[in-house]
Amino acid sequence: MNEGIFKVGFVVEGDRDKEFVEGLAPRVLPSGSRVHVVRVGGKAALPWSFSTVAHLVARGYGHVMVLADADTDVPSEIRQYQRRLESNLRRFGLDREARICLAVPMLEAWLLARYVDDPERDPDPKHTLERCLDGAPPVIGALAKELPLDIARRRSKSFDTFVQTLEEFASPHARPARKRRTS
Amino acid sequence: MADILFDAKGSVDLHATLRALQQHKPSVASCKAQLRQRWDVLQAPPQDLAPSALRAWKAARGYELESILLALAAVEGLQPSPPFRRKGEQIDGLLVVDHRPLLLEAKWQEAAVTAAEVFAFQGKLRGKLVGTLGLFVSVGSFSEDAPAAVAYGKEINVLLADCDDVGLALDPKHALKAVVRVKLRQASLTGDVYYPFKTWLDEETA
Repeated sequence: MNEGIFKVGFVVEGDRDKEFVEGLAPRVLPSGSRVHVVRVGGKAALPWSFSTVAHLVARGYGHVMVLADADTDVPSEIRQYQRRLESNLRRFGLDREARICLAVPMLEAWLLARYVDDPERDPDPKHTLERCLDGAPPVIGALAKELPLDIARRRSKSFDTFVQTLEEFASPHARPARKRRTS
Repeated sequence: MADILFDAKGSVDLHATLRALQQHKPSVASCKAQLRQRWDVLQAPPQDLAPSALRAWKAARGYELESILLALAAVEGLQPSPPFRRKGEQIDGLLVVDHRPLLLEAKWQEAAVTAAEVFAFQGKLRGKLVGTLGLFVSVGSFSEDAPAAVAYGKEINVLLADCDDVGLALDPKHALKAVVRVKLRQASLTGDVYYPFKTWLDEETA
């Protein structure tokens, strides 16, 4: 059952989020970690992400992150959305294994942090990022691999939270969730 | 062996295709490839269309989405019935998966399908035999509240499918009946009416 391998699961909205996680997570997690990403198909599907979290936990992923775009930079709205997603996990007893992480206002702002000082305030991070890339469509995975982590953490609070959460997952003091009996 | 038949404009001729598939065994791989090719062509409108022609093309594309899905159902042996449209109430298309009849609604529009539109489709199911389900396919996706609005506190009788589900159903490695089966199972297990087939594929490789 691969007991020795450190496994972290990610539940994300779509393809670009998957590319981002697969590009960036290995840079933060211990070498040799197993990262698996499940795309739930968009914001409309996120309220049911608890079943995917449960599936990953049952498959031995001791830590799971649900990563979504906040689609707002208003702190009260961000907190409300985060609480709503967390309450779903709590309802099914999954809040110990899983953490919710929201990109403010969206994931592209994290990649934009390389180029601008306050990416979370940008009203259209996708277009601003394209402009910074001289109009070329962003290759999310490649940008994630090259993102300067210290600069991005300093410029984007939500990215800092994301990296901090991964570091906590990987901390030697973090205990993986107890195995759940499936029978 | 029967193939998919197309009309003079290059669109799937559903009635002719269904007749041909009833008379001759389909070459599944070849038919799926033809439907997939047509699906790929429909992703982007032709260049330089006048606004009125573009509107007409997009409207025709919505109907052809239904034809593609029902032709695919025929290729897979899912006993489809084509829609019947006249003035007055329309008789919708239908397919049968594992003895479960599913009424089909297919929309190709830029705006996300709202909860109200899904409710309107659910209204059609009320006049049908108990146990008849609905399959609502939207290439333009669904509004954020649509799945929850359909599921919470209500009898669940509609499954939602999106662009990715259609693409995977047309993929030679997968099938429409597999997509529907996965959605049926998840809706029964958790009440999730939207569960994308892509999610199931990702979960299965964990």
